[in-house]
Amino acid sequence: MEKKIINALSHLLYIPHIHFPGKIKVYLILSFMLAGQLFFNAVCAQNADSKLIFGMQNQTLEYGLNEVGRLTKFRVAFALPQVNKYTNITIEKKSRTLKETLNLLLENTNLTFVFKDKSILVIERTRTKQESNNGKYFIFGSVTDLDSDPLPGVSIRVKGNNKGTITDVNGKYALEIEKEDIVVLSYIGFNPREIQPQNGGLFNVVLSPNSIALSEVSVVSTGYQSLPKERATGAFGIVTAKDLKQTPTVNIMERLEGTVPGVNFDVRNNTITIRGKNSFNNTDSNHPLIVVDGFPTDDKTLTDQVNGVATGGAVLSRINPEDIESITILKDAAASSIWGAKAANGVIVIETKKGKKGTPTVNFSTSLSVSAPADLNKLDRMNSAQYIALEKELKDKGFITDPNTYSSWMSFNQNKPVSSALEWMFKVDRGTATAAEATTALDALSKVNNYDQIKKYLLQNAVSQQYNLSLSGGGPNNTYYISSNYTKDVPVFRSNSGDNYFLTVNLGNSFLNNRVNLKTGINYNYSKSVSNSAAINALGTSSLGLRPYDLLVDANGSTIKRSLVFTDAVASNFLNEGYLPWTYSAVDELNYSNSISKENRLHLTADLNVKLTDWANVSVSGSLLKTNGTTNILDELNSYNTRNFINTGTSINASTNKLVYGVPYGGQLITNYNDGNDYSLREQLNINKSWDDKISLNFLAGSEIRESTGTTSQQTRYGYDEDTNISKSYDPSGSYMSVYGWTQSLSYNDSYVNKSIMRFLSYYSNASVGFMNNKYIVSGSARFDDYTMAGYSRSKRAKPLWSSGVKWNMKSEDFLKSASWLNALDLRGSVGTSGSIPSAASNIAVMTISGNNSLTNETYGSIITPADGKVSWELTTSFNFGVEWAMFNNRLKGTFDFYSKNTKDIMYLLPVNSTYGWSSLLRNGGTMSGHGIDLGISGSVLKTHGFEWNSAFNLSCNTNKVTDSRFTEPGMTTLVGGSYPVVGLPLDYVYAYRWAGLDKTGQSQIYDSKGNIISSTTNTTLTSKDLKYMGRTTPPFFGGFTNSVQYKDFSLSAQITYAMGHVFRRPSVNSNNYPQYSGTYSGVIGTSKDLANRWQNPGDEATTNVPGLEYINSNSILRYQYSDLLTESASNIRLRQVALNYFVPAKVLSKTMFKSVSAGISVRNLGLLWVKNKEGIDPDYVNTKNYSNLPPARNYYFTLNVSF
Amino acid sequence: MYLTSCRGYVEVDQPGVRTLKYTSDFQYILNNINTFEYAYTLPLLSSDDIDINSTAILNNLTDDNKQVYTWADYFYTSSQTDVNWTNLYNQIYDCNTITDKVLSSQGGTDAEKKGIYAEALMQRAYAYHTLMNMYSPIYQESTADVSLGVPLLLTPDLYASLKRPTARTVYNQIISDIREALPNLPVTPTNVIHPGQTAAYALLARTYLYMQKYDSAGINAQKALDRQNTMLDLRTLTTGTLPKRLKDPEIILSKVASFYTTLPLSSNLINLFSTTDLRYSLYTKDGGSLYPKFTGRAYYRNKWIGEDINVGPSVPEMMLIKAESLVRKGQYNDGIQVLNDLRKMRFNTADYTDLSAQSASEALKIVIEERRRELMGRGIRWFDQRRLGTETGLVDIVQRVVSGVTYTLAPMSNRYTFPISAKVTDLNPEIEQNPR
Repeated sequence: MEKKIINALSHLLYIPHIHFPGKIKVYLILSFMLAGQLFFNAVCAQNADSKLIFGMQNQTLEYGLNEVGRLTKFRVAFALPQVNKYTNITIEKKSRTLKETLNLLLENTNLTFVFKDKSILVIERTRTKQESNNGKYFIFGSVTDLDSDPLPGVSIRVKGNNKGTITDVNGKYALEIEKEDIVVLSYIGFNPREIQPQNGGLFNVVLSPNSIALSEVSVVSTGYQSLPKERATGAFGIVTAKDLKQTPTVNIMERLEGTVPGVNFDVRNNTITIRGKNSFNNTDSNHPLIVVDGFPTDDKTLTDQVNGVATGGAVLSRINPEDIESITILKDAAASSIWGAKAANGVIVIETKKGKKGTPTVNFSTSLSVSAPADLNKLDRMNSAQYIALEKELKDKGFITDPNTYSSWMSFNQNKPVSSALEWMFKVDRGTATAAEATTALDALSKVNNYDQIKKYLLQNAVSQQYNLSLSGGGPNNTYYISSNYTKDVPVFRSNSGDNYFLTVNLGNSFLNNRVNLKTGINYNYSKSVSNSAAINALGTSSLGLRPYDLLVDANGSTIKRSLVFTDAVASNFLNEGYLPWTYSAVDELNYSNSISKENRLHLTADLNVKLTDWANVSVSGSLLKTNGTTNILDELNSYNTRNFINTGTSINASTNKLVYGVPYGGQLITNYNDGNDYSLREQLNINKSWDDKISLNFLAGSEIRESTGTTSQQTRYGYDEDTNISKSYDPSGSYMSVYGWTQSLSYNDSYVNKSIMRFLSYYSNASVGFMNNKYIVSGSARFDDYTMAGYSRSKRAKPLWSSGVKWNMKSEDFLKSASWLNALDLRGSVGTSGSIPSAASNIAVMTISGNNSLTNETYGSIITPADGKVSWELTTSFNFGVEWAMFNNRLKGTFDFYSKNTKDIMYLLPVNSTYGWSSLLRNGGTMSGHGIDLGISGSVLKTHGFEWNSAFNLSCNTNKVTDSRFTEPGMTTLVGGSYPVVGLPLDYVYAYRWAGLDKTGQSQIYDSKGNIISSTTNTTLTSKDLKYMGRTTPPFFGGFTNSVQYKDFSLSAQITYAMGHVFRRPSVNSNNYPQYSGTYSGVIGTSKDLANRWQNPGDEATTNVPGLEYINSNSILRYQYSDLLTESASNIRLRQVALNYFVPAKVLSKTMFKSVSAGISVRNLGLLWVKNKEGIDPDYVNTKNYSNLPPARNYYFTLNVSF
Repeated sequence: MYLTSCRGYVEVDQPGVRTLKYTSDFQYILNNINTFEYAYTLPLLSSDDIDINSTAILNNLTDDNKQVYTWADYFYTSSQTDVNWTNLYNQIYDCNTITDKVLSSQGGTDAEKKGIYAEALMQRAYAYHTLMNMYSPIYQESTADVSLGVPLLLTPDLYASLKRPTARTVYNQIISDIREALPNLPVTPTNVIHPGQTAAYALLARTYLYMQKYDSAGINAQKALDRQNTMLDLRTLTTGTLPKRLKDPEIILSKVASFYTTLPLSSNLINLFSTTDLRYSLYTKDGGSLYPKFTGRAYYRNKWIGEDINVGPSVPEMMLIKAESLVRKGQYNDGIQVLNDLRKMRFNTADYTDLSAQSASEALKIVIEERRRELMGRGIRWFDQRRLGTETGLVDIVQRVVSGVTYTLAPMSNRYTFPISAKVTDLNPEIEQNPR
């Protein structure tokens, strides 16, 4: 009953049907808002001459026609674009015949009407004559779902060209077609349908929902405009909300991995590379531009990894993945050059979800993931016995000496302590223990394995939770999308976490009969992360790292505390003197020294679009992004950092024998503040006009300004008490006596307030012209960018950039029209330029001012960039050729792109004769070229009743090469280091020494180019010719392969990614974890398992390749580390995810309030399916020194999706 | 249309980063002690003040430092940087930028601009004076017109020729720069980081000394002493109360040198000290207490106060130049008297006795010995070894043994001139290498 009332009411008041029991209030309010000026009377009318009472005041034609339809029970069909032109119609309310009423309504229009069956068809006057004689028909009707509820916004298109319409709010449509035309109806979430009307007239279509089928993407968004895909001449990659939903991870990068050919989403390093590199600079210059809802961001990545590049840390997304409607990746110049100076590395355009006219939909989704800590036994680590053996050898060979022997002048023993194993060995030397006692103790230590304790006390199950709730819908003049999201990510390391909250409100309003459209977006994000490095440090190799036999907790369950700065005896002496405990325990530190970051991001966008004519409109839009964040690093009084700091600053007064505290007593609080303000303002003219379907023009031109400002500052508080929030003042220049007996001063820790400002000014234009019903399309774009850059003259600062493209819709040609197996075939080509802004070179000397010098108290500065009259932009020219096809009834689809790029004027830190005062300067040094292919194939492999198997495969090939002949081959050590560009080689080349085994002293030997064996003690001038080329570090071939099988309401999918043809250096003994020269060795010894295989006695060279300690020298280590022996293929195939989803069938749901319900389980990180190197090492996670870089552990996700 | 039509929109000053525009900007550059206080490292290791008798320390030396220590054919490989050369020429670039632009800068008075201009000239002269003593063959008046100086850059031009002019050209430039700067330098600079008039005379004294123009050296040393003659009275000090450089009354201009490990002083230097010499106890330390250990003593004055070694001109150095000049003029008793004035501050009264000489040549040897004691461990000795080699009998042949190989350095050897690093000569072959 209730539902009926709402339906009646909404019909009465002309708003969409609402299936939303119990929420009348909302809709009444909505209804009253919309119903202000409405009055009418109605009687039933059955034919053209039946009478009805009708009248309206200042209403639109659309309204009038709909009213007539409602009053007469006739279906009134019309095409919105034609009818929309007519507004402000007033008709006196009185009784007339239906015919009279319609004549009156259409009086001053070029429209007329015809009766057909039970329908009234409103058409252009000229059409009536053409209707029969040139094969054109008019079709109309309504589109509904299985429940006969109308579907508004259904795309209705003539196959093979761009002609089409969408259904109105009542699901009605009208469209003119030609006799042979096939009409495709598509709607997100429903199976598309094709009809071939043959005749004009009424065609009511019912669409069946298919929540599994991938939705058809019909538009690509460049950030400045949305183009029908058919008109795009550039290379675009598109990821839809549906695709993103396939992977339920917190990290959006993981959702994107392997989905788009040509784009490398490197989760491990948190970088995105589109079609390879265009610049020699490794850090900044190769990032794509990220655009959200039309406006560029300064973000270089899509996610923040809280613990740096550690795969085990918490992850914070910058954008709610559930809010993303589509991600369009602009790959070639025709696609991206509209973004000009920042587009050389491609552009990622993110559109967030907007409301759709129609019934409100509430969607709730949640996911939970759990993974156990990765298997510590997979660590490439020595066991305790091996580690002790290494320590013994180091001691015997004199690399480590007894810290107890110290000079008398020192007030106390300042030598660092040694490990417990070494301590036993030295005890024997000192005579404080017998050899037998030591042997027993060492044997006991050898049996210790601390993995269980690490797992128990420092690690935890990684758990992530995501909750998303959204509400969307819209009336005739408005749309809304409101969502909120909460995500919590808890990584394997204890005391670490990330929390993320999102709120998004996207509204659309139209005024003055759709002449004015206002879109507003509010996006708020609050994130909080806690990081604590105690667990990470314990697993690393710094002085805080654990040796294989170092336990965390003793037999009684209390934490083991170790002294790190001095020997234990010295540390306990200090404790007796009244100093704070000078010992460290990783377990205790989990409670202290947290770094807590909080960030607020508020992004507001608004776009006001005013229709000038039906083919032209102007828009004014703006964006405001405000961010502010604080990071608090609190070292409590009990934290090791603070205890160490205070103890170091404490001395003993010789006369009173009391402690003198040199630094404020209490905790330390360092607060970092950052503030960002970013606004953009844009005005744009859009023209969309066609002439007789022969020529259509799509044109836009605009200008844009943008300002980005930022402030960062830091404040350090000493003597901080976290209960009272009180800190102590201090004299930064005053000096105090340290424990070591020399004076120190605290000095200023806080840099000055750092401010930045950048402004951008751009003019841009883009046009595409379609000929012969879009059979041929030509496009072009141009952009001019100017920006804030100190030291540049206007002419050097800004450059115009351009692109052009063509497209040929071959299927429309007569010779292919008959090929029924081929559904579409498009060829495209494009050429254009895009740029990269040089950031650090200048035509005028540029300086920084660095605040006051702590010694002289004078403000000082330095020249950071000298005046160099010859610097300019980096410029990339690219060429793209692409084919897109669909065949066998659209069951096999594909795209293929070939591209090549040439970049010139690449900024490079070129060596400069230091006599000029600079050792190296950024100059427009380099040129490089690159080329590659992107291939994507998707198809329905099998399709029978109730069963469907879909496959998608993509392949990316990319290679690059330095072409500037000035980059000649450098010396051997530089070449093997691999960071210097070399002409003719890709940027990421790998060279290696030719390994020739160990000599009889256990040191490396290599072959020179002539095959002579060179010993490590020979400093013969080896040249680059003596090295061997091994390949590249980034994969020249990579991609993804996804299979999904649907059976009835179940779907099962598997995602595979692969990378081929690259190499990596297998970690082993290297210059960081092994002594390089005989003498005193200090610091924590590496724990790499290869250290245990080292050469120890003559003869070992027959069985091992790891250099021995006795005759060690740095050549030996480096030549081993960079040898071809350790350079291996990194090719691998990886099973990313297997997911099983269940969709509750529609017929079950029809009796409930739910529109759709689905649940799923996914397993991720299933490991390598195949790897080429024979050791089976995962090449993506080779840095096994550190636990944080272990391959991620298997991860289980449970997801639930409900909408109603 | 709104303001996008204006390209001036993007031309805003960025905080903290800007082109040199205001007069104060140029002063900020000169205030940068990281740039301008740098002196050198090579002479610390090459001079006969040092004799590394410890294998542990030798093993600690990097390959290039071993090469320096043994006065090898070359010090650096083509990929290594000679920071001495690089840092000094970086000072010169900054000075050239200042002399090029400061006079037309905004926001400063004429006097301020001229003062900054003069300071830059002084700093440039100092850098060239150091470079000449390291990379130009030992100066001799007779060969000054053919002997090669160092590349002489006087404008911030990144594309200028780097051909080495004659030694005389460079020295003429140094002297004329100092003289041009003098009238605009402050009588009392804010601190010893900045050169004042005293520093200018002191640098002139030094320059003439190394040109072996001892009269002019003495005259300028006296002018420096007329303006600053404050001494540290070591009798009143302990290692803990030695003043830091900004408070040290002896320093005329602060220039620092540092080396990453503490180096043993040679026994022939240590033997010049009596144990009652306060410089022995306050300026040196027993190697047995250092890490790595060695037998003998190390220069430790700077370490006591936690600073780098100060090698800039000082009051005692000016006294020594004055004394040497007097002695060389034949007024050897006057010269020795200057030394005695100095030495009174270096001994407890009970331990002090006057020095005396019977002849000019004996007095000269005494002056040189006193120079060694007073200026030990700072690399200044290397410059002295060079100039004194032009006279017979004033410097000995130096021998060093590394890994069983003996290296010998005879007076006036080509090895008294440092090689220019290959990285520099490779990039600009017009820079002629020093003969070995």
